[in-house]
Amino acid sequence: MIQVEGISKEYKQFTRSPGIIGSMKNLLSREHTLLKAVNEISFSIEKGEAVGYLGPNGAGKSTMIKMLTGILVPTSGTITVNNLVPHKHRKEIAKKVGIVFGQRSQLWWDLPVEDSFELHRRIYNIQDIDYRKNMNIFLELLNLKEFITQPVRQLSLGQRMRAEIGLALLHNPDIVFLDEPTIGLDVIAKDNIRSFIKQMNRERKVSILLTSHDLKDIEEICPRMLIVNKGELIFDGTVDHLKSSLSSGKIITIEFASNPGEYVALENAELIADQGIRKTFKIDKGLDSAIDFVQSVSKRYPIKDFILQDSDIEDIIRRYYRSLEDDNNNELTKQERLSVI
Amino acid sequence: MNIRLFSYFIKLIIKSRMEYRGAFMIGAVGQILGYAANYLVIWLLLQNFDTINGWNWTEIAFLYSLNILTYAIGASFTYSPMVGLDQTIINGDFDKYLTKPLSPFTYYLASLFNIGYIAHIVISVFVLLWSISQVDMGWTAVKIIYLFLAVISGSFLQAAALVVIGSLSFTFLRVQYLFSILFKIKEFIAYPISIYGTLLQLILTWIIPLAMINYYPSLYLFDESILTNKLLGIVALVIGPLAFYLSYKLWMRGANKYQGAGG
Ligand SMILES: Nc1ncnc2c1ncn2[C@@H]1O[C@H](COP(=O)(O)OP(=O)(O)OP(=O)(O)O)[C@@H](O)[C@H]1O
Ligand SMILES: [Mg+2]
Repeated sequence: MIQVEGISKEYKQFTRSPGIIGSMKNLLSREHTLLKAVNEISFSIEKGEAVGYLGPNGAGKSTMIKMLTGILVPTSGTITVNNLVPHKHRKEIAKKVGIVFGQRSQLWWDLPVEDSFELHRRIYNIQDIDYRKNMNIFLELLNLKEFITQPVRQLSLGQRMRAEIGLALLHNPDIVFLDEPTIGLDVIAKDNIRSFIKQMNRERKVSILLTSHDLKDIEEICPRMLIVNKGELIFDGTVDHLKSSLSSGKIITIEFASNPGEYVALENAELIADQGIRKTFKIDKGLDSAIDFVQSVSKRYPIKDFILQDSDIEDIIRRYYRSLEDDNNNELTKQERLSVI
Repeated sequence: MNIRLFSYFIKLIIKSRMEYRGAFMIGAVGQILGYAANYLVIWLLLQNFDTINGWNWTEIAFLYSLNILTYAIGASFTYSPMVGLDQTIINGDFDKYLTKPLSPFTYYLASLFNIGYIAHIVISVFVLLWSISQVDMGWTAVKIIYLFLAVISGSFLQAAALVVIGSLSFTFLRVQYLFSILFKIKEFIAYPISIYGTLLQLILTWIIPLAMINYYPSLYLFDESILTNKLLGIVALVIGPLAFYLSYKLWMRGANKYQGAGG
């Protein structure tokens, strides 16, 4: 459904001089520096897949989505979406694709929300039955009922986002690209949007490519994720895979029969919370070594109970990003960094 | 984009402009007064001279009205989108015009169609009809058709001038000063270009062919028995659509250079 092969995007960043004289000068000399926002990325996405696209600020996520939707022309490499090259077949691609940019609006600012939907119906030439069916579903699931007749400028951010997402799915696209769809929303609005996207993915087999800085979005919606950093793809796999192979850290909370004191002999374990008889440790290895750890502790100190949990995804990603920065400081090559995975 | 979709755009645009109908009305009245003042200036000028280079007041009123009418029609389609294009690009808001099953050009023009030129159209049609009633042009069916076609071609040419400058936004990002230059140059065609030097006349005919908007069509209508009037009058009918087509091509090339804005 989506094939991305060796895609790069370089932005020209012009040095501009201010004022009329400056503009005249810019007409004549066009000095610029090149910034490689996306660097030789390849991946493919099958029909019905939901993929999270993750990476720190400036990693090149929005740039990739803009190339996939035909907004930007890649500097090199090939992209096909539904066997079409996006920037060469913008109109055909648009019929198959829905787009949500959390930072921008597709809605008509001064008019009631329903007018934007009606306009989309006409632009996409949506059949009446399909339109009515979708509207009924969206009015319910996204709770558009409560504000569909209000001008867009009067909507709260959460309401507007729900409308944007409904609009993007109105023409029954095969693929939906969502660039930070939950940015700035409260917990309830996020839940609503996530479950809607999930439902569309499950029931309509709509492929999803989603970027977000809220890892819950990705954990809940996307079984697979791609992680990019500084324009390069550094991870492609399941969330579980990332957890087990990358961090595989375990959090262990042990309740002792009596307080063993400050010092508990621990190899490879880090004390992260200490409430006397209740201590929480984090170890870097997987399940086996966690059990070994508990056993070795229990030989020395009587234990009443223990809880074992995975370190959560936020924590994994945080540490992952940090390790990327460290690697960078150590000037490791890309190859070495990849071997971390 | 078909007519039905386009008229739905217009409907939405009228609806959203009417959210601020007070401002709209004030704008319309302001424009009518502004252009009435322009006509007054020319009329006063002709009180002293009687004719400018053989053109009397009613003929100049015709020439001038043809310019305003074609500008109002062309600018309804292209003024707001083209003058706003550089800012739209800088903000990254151009994205959405590239992601619909419509040509980005027609979609962008339709969504920013400006109904505010209705005031220009009212005053220029009014003066145009009045001047037609005053000047004896020996109207024939051919001339009436010619006038219609000249208005259409001139509108295309006016629209094209704005599109050409707008499309430079994709490369140079800031182009407002080029619009100011265009509007300065356009002041030349408020009067018959025969009053200017040969070089300027050549420029306005062949390089920046603004004289094709009103001067040559007027010559054709006033006296088509002169061969050059006839030939240039016919060129004037072709050059508008042609210029518009070329400006469209230029614009579409620019759109492919669009870099977006960060996000
Ligand atoms: N239009 C542009 N012109 C020049 N440089 C750009 C442009 N858009 C983005 N960049 C640069 O390209 C890089 C990638 O930007 P991009 O917007 O794709 O990042 P991102 O991963 O979406 O970041 P974020 O998480 O902050 O949204 C950044 O360094 C940015 O400064
Ligand atoms: Mg982004």
